[in-house]
Amino acid sequence: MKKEKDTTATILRIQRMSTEDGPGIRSTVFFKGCPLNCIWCHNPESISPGVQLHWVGSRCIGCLSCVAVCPENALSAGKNGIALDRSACTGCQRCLEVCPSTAMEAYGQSYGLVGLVSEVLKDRIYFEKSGGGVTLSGGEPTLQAGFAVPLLRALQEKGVHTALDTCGQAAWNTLEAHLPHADLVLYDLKEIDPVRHKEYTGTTNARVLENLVKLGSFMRERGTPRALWIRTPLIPGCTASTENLRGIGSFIKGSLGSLVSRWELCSFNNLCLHKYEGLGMDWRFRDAGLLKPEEAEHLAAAARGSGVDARVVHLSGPLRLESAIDAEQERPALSVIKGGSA
Amino acid sequence: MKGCAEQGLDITEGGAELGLATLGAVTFATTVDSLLAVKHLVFDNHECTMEELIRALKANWEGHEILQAKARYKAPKYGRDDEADAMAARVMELWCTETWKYKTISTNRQFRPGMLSWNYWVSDGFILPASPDGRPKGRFLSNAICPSNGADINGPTANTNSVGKVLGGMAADGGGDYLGYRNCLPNGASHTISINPSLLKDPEHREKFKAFLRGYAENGGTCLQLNMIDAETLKDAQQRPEDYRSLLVRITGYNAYFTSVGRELQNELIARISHEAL
Repeated sequence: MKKEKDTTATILRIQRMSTEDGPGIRSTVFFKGCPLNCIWCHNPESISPGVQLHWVGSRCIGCLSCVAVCPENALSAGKNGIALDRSACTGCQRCLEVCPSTAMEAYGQSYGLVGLVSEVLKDRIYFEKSGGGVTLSGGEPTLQAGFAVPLLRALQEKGVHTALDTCGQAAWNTLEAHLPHADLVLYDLKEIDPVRHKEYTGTTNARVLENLVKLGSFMRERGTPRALWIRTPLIPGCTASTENLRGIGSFIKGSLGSLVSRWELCSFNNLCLHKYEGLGMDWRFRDAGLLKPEEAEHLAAAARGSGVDARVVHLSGPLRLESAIDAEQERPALSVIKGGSA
Repeated sequence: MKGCAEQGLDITEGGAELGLATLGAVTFATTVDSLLAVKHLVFDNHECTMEELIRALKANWEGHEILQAKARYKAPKYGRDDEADAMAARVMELWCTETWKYKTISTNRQFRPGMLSWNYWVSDGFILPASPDGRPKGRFLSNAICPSNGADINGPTANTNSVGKVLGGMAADGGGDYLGYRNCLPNGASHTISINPSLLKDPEHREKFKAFLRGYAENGGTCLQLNMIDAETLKDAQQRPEDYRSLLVRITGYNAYFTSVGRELQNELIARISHEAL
């Protein structure tokens, strides 16, 4: 405990003025690394616990300094921009240092506890005015419990409202250690069927459900965390079925009851495609459309009719539009400037 | 006009008791960011010599694109709620102190500082040569007290915190000009910020928006003008992504910068924002 000051974590980013991760205006700390591997993941850059490099085409001026500097020859310029051979990259970050326009960027950065606390406290005034605070999200914060727990504690000691956004896939003792210091838990319940859960996320939901029941008991006994929100992503062809929502709803009703003050149904969005491309990953949902408004409403109705208090069901996220889009001219992925160094 | 009759002088002769004249500054953030860039490029990181920087500016950055990119992307900027704001506070202090030293020669009226910039920040951008912050001639200057376009990459609260700091914030000695706040710019400082319309989508979000405004006032903000991001903004961002680095797309459990999502999805976002127009 004496050495708390030295604790560090790999953080993907800190999102200030977040209005989507709990009550009020919040600063959301996205931790890097996740034990699940959901096939639809919207933040694929948060899955790997390590730092990952990627190329941001919109900032690239085409000087090719990165290609020239790479000691492993892992970078090359092609018609789709700068390509990174991840098997050759050693993560030395020379390309980041030399890139003049921050087009070479790292997903993940090391933060010390003291520095991170003072960073998020910069928005304290907005937390106070809005009933907001700080949310630990990810990735999965509990994977870096040695940092996440003292962070929650430090914030609580300073009177800041704290929220833990978790997928629930953690050893109970680890998850439990966070709970006395979290005012709110945002808990993902993606799929009620264990076989499908394994198919979609890489693991069955046995531990997720078991931990959720234990969390409920903890809340009843200890009176903290004071609030629990459940989050379910509505993924077309996967979790977006009335059967799944009825199943989750009856689980909530049977095991948690009135402890759940909100059940958020988060509709699928396809905006993360560029992240997959930047990481050199394929994405199964590349061509999947957004939910139609009537589909989403049908699912929300199933959730409301599942036995939970209908008022706790909230639908969020983008839905499909029928209107046409006037397309802009695509700019070339990479135009090399004169005097480029390769 | 109090004082004119007593002194037997009309206002044009300096008879009014409250005789004030405005000195309005344009290019605040452009100046601050330029000083920060000179410090970063020439003194701290030795990316170039002062002569080389001057040569690049005289060439309007042409042939010096790498140095220009470093100035634009790697040099610190005002508006991110970090150490760079100290330079902004220094420029503010210096300029205000200097302004208060002078009175008009004709009528002996006291100059008071303000930063409104009207529309000069647009038109003067075509007159002023390239600046060390990476801006070429012909690009807009910074507006009033605002951070440079796209520089506020830490979001709206960081932007308003930075602005609150340079306006004076709470007086260290507990005195201040009004309710304990210092006001460096008594002749006004306009601050424009772009807000995503999704912040007003339902009563819950509208409460968050109101709280943001209360926090802004509490931080010492004096005048906030709000623009709603619309389809035109996003189309402009497609054309000039470097001016819109801070433009964020935020959906439950997901976030990304508008300029980094692919063109097809940008078009979809444009259609969506048109559809949801207020």
